Amino acid sequence: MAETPTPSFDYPIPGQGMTAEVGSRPWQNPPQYSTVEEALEFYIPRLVSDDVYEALLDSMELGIPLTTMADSMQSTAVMQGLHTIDVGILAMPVIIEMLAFIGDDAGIEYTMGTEAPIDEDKISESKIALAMKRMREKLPEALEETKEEEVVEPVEEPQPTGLMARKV
Amino acid sequence: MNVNPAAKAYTNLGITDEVEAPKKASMGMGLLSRNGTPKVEKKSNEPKDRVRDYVSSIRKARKQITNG
Repeated sequence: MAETPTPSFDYPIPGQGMTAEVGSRPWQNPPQYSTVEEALEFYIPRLVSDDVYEALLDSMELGIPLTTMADSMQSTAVMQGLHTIDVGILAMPVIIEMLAFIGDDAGIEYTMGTEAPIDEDKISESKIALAMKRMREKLPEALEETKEEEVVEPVEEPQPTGLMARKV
Repeated sequence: MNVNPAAKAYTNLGITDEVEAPKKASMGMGLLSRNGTPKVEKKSNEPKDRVRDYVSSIRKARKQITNG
């Protein structure tokens, strides 16, 4: 006799993977550094340490903006529970300035990442080129449509049929 | 528009290059003069203000490096 499969209730509840007990994550616990000064005392010696220093210079030479570097550093520290997001946001300008100091000291050309945002009213050359390409793709279809519309049957003009009319 | 929070935090500090105002020598500084007692400006000690001070001091050091 064949056994009928019984439903199992041991499977995880949908969404269970995205949950955890409160306090089990580092950022759910009290931070290690609660003030900006404490956080900076953690960051600045690390920035000038031998292992990080070389990597920072390489990143600057690659053209990674200092703001991006500072942002990734502080968000990593938040995930590790070192400080809160608020302290991270406050510490970021000092980290950026310190990175710029390191770059200047090493004589590297770097990008700050604080340059003025692109003017949205000004259309870039690439966007114009893309629009032109799309237009060219659509143009044959559009021309065919207009040709179909423009085809007009020739209207025969009534020829004069009087006695005095000249035959052409 | 997606703006880097670091860039926003950096630009929102509002640091301007300080220009020292020239002191007027002709002003009376005696006890009876109105300008005798220097005005004490209340300086805020909020974290943002402290960060502004740190950034401006590092920027001064940077300028010293870049200017030789």
